[in-house]
Amino acid sequence: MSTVQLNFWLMPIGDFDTYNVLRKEISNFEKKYPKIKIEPTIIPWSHVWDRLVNYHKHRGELAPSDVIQVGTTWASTLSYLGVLQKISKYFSKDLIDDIIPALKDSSRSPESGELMCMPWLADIRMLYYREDLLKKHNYSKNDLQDIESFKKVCMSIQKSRKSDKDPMAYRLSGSTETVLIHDLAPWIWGMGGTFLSHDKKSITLDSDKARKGIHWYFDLVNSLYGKQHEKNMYGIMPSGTFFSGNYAMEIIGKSPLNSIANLKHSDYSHEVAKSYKTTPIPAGPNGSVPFIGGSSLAIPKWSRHPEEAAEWIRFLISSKSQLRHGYNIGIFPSRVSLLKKYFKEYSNDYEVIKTTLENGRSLPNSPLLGTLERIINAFSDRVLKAIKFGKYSNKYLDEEITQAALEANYIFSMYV
Amino acid sequence: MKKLKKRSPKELWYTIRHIKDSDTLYSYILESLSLLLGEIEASIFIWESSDTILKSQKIIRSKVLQDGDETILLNKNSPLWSFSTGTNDLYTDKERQSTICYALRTEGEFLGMIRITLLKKKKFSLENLRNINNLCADLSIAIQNIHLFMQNEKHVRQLRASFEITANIVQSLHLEKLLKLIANSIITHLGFDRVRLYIIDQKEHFLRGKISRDIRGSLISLENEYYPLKSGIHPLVDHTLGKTETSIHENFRDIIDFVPLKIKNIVVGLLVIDNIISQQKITPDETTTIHSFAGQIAMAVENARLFEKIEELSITDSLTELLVKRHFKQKLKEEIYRSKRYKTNLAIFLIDVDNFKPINDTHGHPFGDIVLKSIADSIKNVLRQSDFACRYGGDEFMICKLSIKEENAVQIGQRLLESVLNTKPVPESGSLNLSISIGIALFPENSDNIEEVIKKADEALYYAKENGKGQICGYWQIKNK
Repeated sequence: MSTVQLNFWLMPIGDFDTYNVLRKEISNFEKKYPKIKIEPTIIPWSHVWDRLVNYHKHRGELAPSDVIQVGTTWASTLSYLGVLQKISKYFSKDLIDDIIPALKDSSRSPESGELMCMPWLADIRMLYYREDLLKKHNYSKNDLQDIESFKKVCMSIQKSRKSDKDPMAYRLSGSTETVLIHDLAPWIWGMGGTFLSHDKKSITLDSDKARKGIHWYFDLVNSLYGKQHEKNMYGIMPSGTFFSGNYAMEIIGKSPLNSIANLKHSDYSHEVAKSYKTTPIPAGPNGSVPFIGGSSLAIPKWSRHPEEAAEWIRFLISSKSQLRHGYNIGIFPSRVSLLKKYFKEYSNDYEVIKTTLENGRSLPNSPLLGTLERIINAFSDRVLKAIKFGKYSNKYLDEEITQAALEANYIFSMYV
Repeated sequence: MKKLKKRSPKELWYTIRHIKDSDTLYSYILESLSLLLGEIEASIFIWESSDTILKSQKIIRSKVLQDGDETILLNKNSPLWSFSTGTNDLYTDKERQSTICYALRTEGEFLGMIRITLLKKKKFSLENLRNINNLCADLSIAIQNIHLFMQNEKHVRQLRASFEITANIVQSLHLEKLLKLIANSIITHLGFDRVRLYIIDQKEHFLRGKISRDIRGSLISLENEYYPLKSGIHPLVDHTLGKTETSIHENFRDIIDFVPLKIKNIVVGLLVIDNIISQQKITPDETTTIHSFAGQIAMAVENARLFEKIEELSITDSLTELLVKRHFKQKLKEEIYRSKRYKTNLAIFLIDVDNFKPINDTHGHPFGDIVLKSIADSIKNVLRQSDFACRYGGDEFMICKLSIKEENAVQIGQRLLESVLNTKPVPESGSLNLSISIGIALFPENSDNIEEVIKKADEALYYAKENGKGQICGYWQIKNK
């Protein structure tokens, strides 16, 4: 067998650390399989979709990739477009059974239900909080269990701030100031609402239950950050992160092992490290229903070496490699057995991850998810702008939800 | 992973000249800078004059390459503004001399810049600045060349698409086939997620779905989609009638386009292209291209409809001079009525030329036509005054023989087989293997419903084909098998 070069397109999962972490993985793999060489190309999240679709439609001059990293929410769309190969034949039943169920759901073809990619890194949303700050206000973990008491804690901490240096109560998730579909999802699900009907043919975003969830979340955002345009012309959220001590609470999907728990990290904060805790997402009337997403590895249709590609994926999903990624860049493994190990060794509360995995959900598996995401992102941007400029009201939000549902129904009428 | 070797200036220039895509060019330049300067972070930015922004394309940090994701907005207060006005080519931060920005320019035109930060040294040496200067000059020329090359490639692609689509539009006069060809060529050459074609049914005032073709290659009939031509019924109808509620559609204009097919301001149909699934923006160039074809497509659709109308109106097939299918069925209805009234019977013969496609492929279509005409002549020879026959499809024929018994029907079939064999035309080169298969069913013996009788003749024909071709099979011979 002559040497095979595998082109691997991935995203900067650990910023510039990505390459260093990957370099070690590649080196280990190439030692084990000397006839397979891995050539990685790191592509920013914002570029990778266009690159994949353009390559699928027009090929072009780039060397074809053999393994690609895809967001779990993209798997159904890419599979529908015919970008991905069926993948289950390359992996043992035991391995597939060990994958977090919610991640597996979103990695299937929306038509045939076949597994089209292997979940690699998991984004498991939990509420991180500062026990010390809660204690100061006479609150504890018990006050974070349902959405009403959680809101009360938020408001109480926010009101007690004496200066801008004091930690804010709660930070919107995500690195940029946006409310994305997966930020809204837990509150819509928690109220018993959904995004799509059971047959995935119509929109339920404007149903009473979904509306309640959306109202609850934006009301919280408005109470915490409303009318900020005088203080901050660029956005409504002050800078900083939960891990660097700027906030008392945040819903995050990755581990703090690479920040607050790591003395060498620029985000390291002794105070936060000492007293950070996790708890499941506050429950609505329908319970605590967190979002579980992440990214997967897939073999594109145009791969020249699918067998070797599968070997590389098997390696990256192996226990050792997944745990190394977890420890080095703080991203959770996609396998239930490894999460147990990971949390037992490093986290203060294994029960939290257990509950989160049991209740966690992925976004609906529909090829139109991308379009729905676009509509919700645009809707959220409009609402955030209204919050910033003091124009937010119940009536305003209701009208915006109706408009977003109209737009989504328009698109669905074109496709379903 | 690649191991990099030092590159000489000559090797650099030679390689840069031969790179044909910007991704490889930027990677090569940044790797070369990294080899030259050691531990650096460097980015290549490209100038977008319409938005006055510099957009990073590629970045290298400690020898690790990534696609860029940074945007710098230039305004008059920006320290880099002088790059865009052409008054300066080198910017060094006075406080951080380990960072420089170098403008990329050809013949005075600002193309972008390189930003380099030394990660382990504090200052650039003069020799390094000279080398960077040379590399930037080479890079600028290469960027300009690749830009011209890409523009040229784009024009060639558009011309090719125009040529292919136009060629396909004139390829067929049959509406169904024409629509398939149009849908296929639009997807193949323009790369949309999906194209759909709708035609206006002028008689019934309906917008009827015809065909959908998507990027996966699926060709789906839209025959079950039909909407009355009244505004407000469905967005597709509104777009066809030009009465669109635009506020919602405006938000999706970049991923879905509705192109009414018009001839002299009369709408004959609707072409819908979309990138709803892939979310890729339909570019203004693509919109222009597809709208420029709309008139041609409309004309071709109208021609095909007129052709089908003419075909419908004619009684005999121009090639074989047998009846056309429509007229045959009309006559058959009348005969069935008569048979029922006078308690007589009739036989349906369904005839198919064996291996007709290889005959066409080997000897050409004109010879294929001669073969069909010769078979039609043999058919005419077995018809009595009261019998009639038609060209049922491309290479299929049907005969209706009145007042006939099973054994007579088989005898006539046998005569027809022999006649076809004895009168077969001679090709200019090679030889011709010609045979036909015949399926027969009787009315009312095999069924008292004429559509059923035709179906049973078809089953008998299938049996004859499956069992060796060149033979006759009566439905009564297989009904118990």
